[in-house]
Amino acid sequence: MSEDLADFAVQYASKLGCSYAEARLEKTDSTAFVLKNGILEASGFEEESGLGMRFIIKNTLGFVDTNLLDKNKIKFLINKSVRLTSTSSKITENTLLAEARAGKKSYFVKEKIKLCDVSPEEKISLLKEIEENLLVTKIKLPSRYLSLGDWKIKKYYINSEGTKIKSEIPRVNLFYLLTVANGQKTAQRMWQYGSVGGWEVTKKWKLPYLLKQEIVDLEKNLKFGKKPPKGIIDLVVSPQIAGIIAHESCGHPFEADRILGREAAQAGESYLTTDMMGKKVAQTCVTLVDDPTVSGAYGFYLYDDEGVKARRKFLVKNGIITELLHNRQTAKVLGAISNGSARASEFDKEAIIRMSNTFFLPGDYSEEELIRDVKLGVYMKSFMEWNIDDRRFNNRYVGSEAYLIKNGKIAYPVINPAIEITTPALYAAIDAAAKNFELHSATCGKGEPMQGIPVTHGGPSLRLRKIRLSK
Amino acid sequence: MEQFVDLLHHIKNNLLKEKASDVVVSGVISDSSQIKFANNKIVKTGTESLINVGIFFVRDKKIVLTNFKELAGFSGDTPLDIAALNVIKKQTNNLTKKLVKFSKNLEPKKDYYGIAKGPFTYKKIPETFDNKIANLSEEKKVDFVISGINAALTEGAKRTNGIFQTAYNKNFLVTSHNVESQSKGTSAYFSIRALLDKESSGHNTSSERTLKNLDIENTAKFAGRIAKLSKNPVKAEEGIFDVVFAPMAIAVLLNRVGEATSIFDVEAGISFFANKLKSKVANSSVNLIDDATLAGGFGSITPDAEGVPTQRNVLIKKGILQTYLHNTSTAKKYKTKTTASAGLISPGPYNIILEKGNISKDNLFAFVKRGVYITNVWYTRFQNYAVGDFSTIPRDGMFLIENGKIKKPIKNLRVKENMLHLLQNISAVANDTKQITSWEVSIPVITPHVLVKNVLLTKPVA
Repeated sequence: MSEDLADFAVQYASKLGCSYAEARLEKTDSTAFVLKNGILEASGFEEESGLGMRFIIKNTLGFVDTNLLDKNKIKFLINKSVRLTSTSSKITENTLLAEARAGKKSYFVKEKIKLCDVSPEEKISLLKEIEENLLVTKIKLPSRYLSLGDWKIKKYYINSEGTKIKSEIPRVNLFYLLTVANGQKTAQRMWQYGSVGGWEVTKKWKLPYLLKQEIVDLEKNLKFGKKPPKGIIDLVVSPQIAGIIAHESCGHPFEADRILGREAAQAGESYLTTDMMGKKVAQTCVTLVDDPTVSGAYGFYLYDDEGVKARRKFLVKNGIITELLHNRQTAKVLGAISNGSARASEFDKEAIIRMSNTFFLPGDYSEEELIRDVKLGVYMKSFMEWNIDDRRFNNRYVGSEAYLIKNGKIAYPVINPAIEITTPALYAAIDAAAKNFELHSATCGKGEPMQGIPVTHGGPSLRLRKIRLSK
Repeated sequence: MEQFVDLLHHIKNNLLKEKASDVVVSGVISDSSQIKFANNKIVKTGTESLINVGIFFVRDKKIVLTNFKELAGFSGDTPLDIAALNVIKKQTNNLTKKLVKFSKNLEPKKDYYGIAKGPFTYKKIPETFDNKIANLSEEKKVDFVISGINAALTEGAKRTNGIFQTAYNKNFLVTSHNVESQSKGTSAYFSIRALLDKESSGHNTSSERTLKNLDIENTAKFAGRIAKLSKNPVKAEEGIFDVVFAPMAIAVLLNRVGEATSIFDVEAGISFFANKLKSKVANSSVNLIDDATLAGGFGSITPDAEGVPTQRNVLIKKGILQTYLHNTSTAKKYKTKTTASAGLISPGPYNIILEKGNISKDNLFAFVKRGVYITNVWYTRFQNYAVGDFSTIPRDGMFLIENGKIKKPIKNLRVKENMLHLLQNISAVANDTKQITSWEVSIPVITPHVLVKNVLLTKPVA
């Protein structure tokens, strides 16, 4: 990687009068394979290098990106961008950054089996093995879509304050969408598994077995599922649903740039306001964190894309709103220090506040104990449809594999139980967390242009009391 | 640019020497700028310059996609000297070796049937390139943003957020089957969300290929008006309603409808149009077109990704599904003709057009005794793509309609529907029309206001 180009970019911007400058040079090597209905649709590999830089001139933030790694081109672009940004200072918001400790650090995620050493055939054989395991069940599967990708990002970050961070992070991801049929009825399962690391992570997932089990259970749901109960019930949700709740109704609204209105045009704002810090919104059993440093997790990193050291953030601690997700700019505005939440999905995107690995902390009960204490309720194991409004207030989660709980026992499958509920009511209803724990990977979207970033969400199974299911 | 095209041919020829049956080499040179504003201030500018060369390689029905990256030499206006060009060409040899090695033990795609055979001639699509956009000054860009912000504020908004973006692209294509094309295009996109307070807002966009068609002031005024009109929304009761969808709202749903006509989506189980060719999938008032040759169309381009001149495709005629979208290979598989919709892997639409109806927007409202007006939706998610069950959340101004008039702003509802049910319940289409692209409208949609009967709107239980 031509690190000197990044160094040059920062020096040049500073020479032009920028009060701050940073550059992020990235090289990404990737492969991808798609298996559709048993046929290898396409395979590919790619190498991409590029430079993304931010600078502040006349208190206005500018961003430049290019994959043309040539000094003259970079100079030309910086000049062009400085002109645009200086002109924009007419109505600048006055971008200021909180102090951050400068440092020099290198880190990399180890690959026990290097991705570049694994042949395309071996990668495809994983997809083939999954396909064979699905078909051997003889369950009617009108469509099967499997997509496997891996990429390794080498990053070099430098800023005008003396910070230099080098990192190498490999990732693997397998996405699938399966359609299960029973007579005229169908149900779908859409999910993904992802981790940082080498090819060895795919063995840990045990996907051929896991996906086979998923469609067996989904078919049972389809065949034998009955209507969900009406009226007030209790709900036990698995880590998959706990995770999406954590992500959508806590992680996102706690992004400080939303609270300050910077993302209102598309990603939206937040129901949370700064005067709600310290407010109790849930029972003591509810603690929610965002933690980039979880080893092996899909959203892993040790230094964010502003060069700030990452750490665990307690968003909600024992039911109390405790901390927001900050970058240096929001930290400055709100009188805090950055907690290392700035991420960019690729070199050609600016770093904005993102989640990493967002999850409820486990509690003291087994999942069985949560269920045992339910007279009438639903156990939601997986979901397909979900959404939330752009202030993160009005949630909807629809169960895919789900069961009736009667007198403390799982009774029979139920079809698509749905909860449509406000965030305050949702959190107030959580009365217990189990001690199991899972993290599930996802691709989170935010920003304009859109950035899809690898994250995880999860936690333990949770119990919610006195919920009315929705249509 | 001759050198760049020469390089694309060189890559193609290298691969043909390795017994490739089909090669497509595409090049895109793009320059773009962005100004992002929030809370009435400019919060960031963006300046971007990229060159991408994509390669589609097939040998013995084994398909590989990759890119060539040693392109920095083409970034300036000065042509490369012969020595520098030869260095780059030598680097393509390394790529060729890598491609051949990668493809060696892949499984052939047994239902692959090749790419289009040229040569073709291409008609220029009007109003897709504007020198004024390509050379728009920094001052003018900032002035556009300021004028948009002020227009929304004068209509009653308190805060504005959005972006102003311009782009200039040069596109190149060469294939192993006698195709060569070059084209250029520009675009300008203005998006503004105007807020009165946290619960009252309006959103609008102007997406155009030429500066003369870009209308920032009226776009912003509309957003500001909706924000003001939506002040103090009240919680609404759920139920089944007749709903007037504004263009921004229906565009999100029509985007998915257009995508669902791709044969790739049908095969992958993510289309509610599977097994429905020549069936009635929508109300008779619905005529849906995909037209990549539309003058000024935000997605207009020719040729498609394998060099076939793009065309106008009637997707739905009087409610009946006419065609899926195909490339050459999928068309041969299904014994039909290409719709010039490549996507070499996944064919797709370019500009999705809901043909306008005969009635004015006001008369459309007049049909509604008691209903809801939805100006925007967000976060559309499916329970089952193959069946079409989904929900989406109204965002920005939403209003109760009584006796054809907007009665009051409301909040707290969610659309819970089925795509086919929705299409079949389109009872009237207005004669206004707007081109929309947005976060959730990645394929441009041109649509009027639409009235849909019997839409289920739900609310949170607590």
